[in-house]
Amino acid sequence: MKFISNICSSLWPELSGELKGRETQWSIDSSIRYPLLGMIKPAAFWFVVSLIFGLIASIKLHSPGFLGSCEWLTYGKVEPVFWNSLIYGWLFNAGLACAFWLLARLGGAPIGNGFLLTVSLSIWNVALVVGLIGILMGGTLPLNWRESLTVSGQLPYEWLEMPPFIAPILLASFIGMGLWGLLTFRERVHRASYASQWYVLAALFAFAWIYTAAQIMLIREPSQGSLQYLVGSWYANNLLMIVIVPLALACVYYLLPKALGTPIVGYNHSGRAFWSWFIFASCAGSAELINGPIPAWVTAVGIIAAFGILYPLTVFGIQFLSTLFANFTRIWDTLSLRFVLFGCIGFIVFGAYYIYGSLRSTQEVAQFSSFSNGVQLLGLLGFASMIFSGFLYFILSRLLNKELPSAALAEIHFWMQLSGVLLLVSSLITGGLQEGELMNGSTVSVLSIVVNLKSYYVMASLGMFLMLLGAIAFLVSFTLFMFSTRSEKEETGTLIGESPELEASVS
Amino acid sequence: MSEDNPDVLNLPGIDESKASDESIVKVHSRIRRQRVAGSAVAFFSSTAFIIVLTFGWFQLRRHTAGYDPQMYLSERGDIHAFLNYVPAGAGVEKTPFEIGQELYMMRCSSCHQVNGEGMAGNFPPLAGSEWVLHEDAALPIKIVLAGIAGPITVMGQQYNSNMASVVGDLEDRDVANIVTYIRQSWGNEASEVTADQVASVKEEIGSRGPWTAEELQSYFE
Repeated sequence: MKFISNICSSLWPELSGELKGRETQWSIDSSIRYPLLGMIKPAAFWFVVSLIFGLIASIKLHSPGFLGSCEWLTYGKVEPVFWNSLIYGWLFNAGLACAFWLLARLGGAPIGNGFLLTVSLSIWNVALVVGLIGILMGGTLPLNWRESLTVSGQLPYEWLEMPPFIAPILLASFIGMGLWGLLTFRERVHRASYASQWYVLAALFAFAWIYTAAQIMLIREPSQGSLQYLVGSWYANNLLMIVIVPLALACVYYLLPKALGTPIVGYNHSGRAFWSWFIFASCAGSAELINGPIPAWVTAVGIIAAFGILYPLTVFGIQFLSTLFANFTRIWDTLSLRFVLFGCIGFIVFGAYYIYGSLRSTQEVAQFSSFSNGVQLLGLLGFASMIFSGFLYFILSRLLNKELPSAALAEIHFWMQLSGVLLLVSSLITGGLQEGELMNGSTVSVLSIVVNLKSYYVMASLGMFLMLLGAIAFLVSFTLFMFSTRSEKEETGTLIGESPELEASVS
Repeated sequence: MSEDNPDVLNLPGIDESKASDESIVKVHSRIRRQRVAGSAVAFFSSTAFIIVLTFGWFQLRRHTAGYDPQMYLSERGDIHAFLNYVPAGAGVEKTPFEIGQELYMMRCSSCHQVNGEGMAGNFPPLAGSEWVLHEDAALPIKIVLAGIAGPITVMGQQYNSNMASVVGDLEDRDVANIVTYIRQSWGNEASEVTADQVASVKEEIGSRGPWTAEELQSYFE
């Protein structure tokens, strides 16, 4: 019974005493609590699930016999399940939860239409379960649109592997969530807008657009020949660069002044950084198709666009790192800022590798190796996942009016995620570069090269395993957050102090 | 986590908020309206922008292959080599006899064999065959153009199989080359055949199915 009363007190807390100037914030948090917990819960679940599949896929790369007798867990199924559950499960749920919380907070008024958000996100997660089971079951590819409504089976496009009948359901539920975001932004009290809000809105529009376009051009009315690969790479690149990354950037822009108490250094360049990011990043997808059957100028434009990211990356790098380093002593004592610090460093390294990896001379070596997977994982796990983790700790205590249940678990989550991502990404990137160099420059057989690279894949598996431990620590942390008995201190409205006003310093 | 012991790695239960949401929006929107002269961000980002422009300019000049939608190669050297590619042996004129040999090897040799001996019991030989060496070249031309089916006697041997026309898509000159080749190879020594002869035979027989040996028996009477 205790269990039930605890969960009820988490979902519908009644605080005693005065709120000390936090009435507005508390009313906003109360209005959005139910839908947000409905996103954070599946997020924590998907984080663990995706890394379990990631670990299996990673082990299969160096020990092919692992789970070899299980036809549900062949490499060709486990690998797409890992990517899809990581992106649509963990990063979408966590990222949208953070994004919606900051939309509500920056809007300055309790949110309406919570029902729309709750229903949409429930449909999204149920559809995701069905879609991933569809990949695991396997089956034949549908021949046309009509048949695709009834046939399960995996599609051959990166990050679009789920059976086609799931797509309209996912899109509809996403439109529900996106609509909620737009309505909340429209109902805001403060008329001025902040960079975080731009990035959230842009990411909402971007996903609705790229998902619709990719579904139509690949499944509904399939384009012919090499155009398919152009659309496929355009979609995968944009999902990472103009949907996931902007959500994480929005969180960074919000959390830095919020937790440090100083404005962003050089904030007046944010507008230019925003537009140049979306213009360059959205065109960069064709760079990876170099030397393929695509007109030369298309890949040339892709490479220029990928290189153009240098401009917004410089702005972001200086803005974030200057703001963080100016208040360095506060970082280590604030859990969420630790994640943000390493997330920001991860972002700059990711951007540098993204540019480096799109150059012609690098692609001569690194194309078709594990290099590009390493760079993608650096963006997804080293940047976005770090930022969302930190941000979730920040909002969970506010949503529930509870303290961090266990600092030790949070420490485990942080260190495991950091060391895991370092091991995983560095082994995939260096392994990929070395693989390419050996393939290009030596005359030994392909098999001996593969054997030679085994240690890199073992290291990647170890990194995956460490990340899995971190994800489990987060899941346990979240469960304790929800189920722990409310202490006396946590029943008062003064647990969280009033926020001071931000002071504009001249920088 | 005890707060008295500074040695223990300590995390506060709640990350403090150091700025209210309203002030974040307002202060930053004020910063955007201010004109700031000379900041680190301005300096480094303009440098980055110049680097991007330079890189883009070189790439557009060097690697777009003139925006040719058919051109997949991006390096100038590769494009030059591709456009100036000459297949090996190109530019050497072939004699009519050699063209005929090539066509015979592609279209005829699977039955009549490379050496023109045919296959005993199945396909009649061409080497020494009275049907091929007939002084009126119209006979072999007719057979090549329309095919021949049913029983036939060649060099005293009885054969019974089915030859379809395999030259429907060829020009008269090439048909003439094939007939010339079979009439002058493997020890055969009969007259050359010209495109005009083929054309006149074509006109005579029109479009028709395979011959029978009986129909052509008149050549031997």
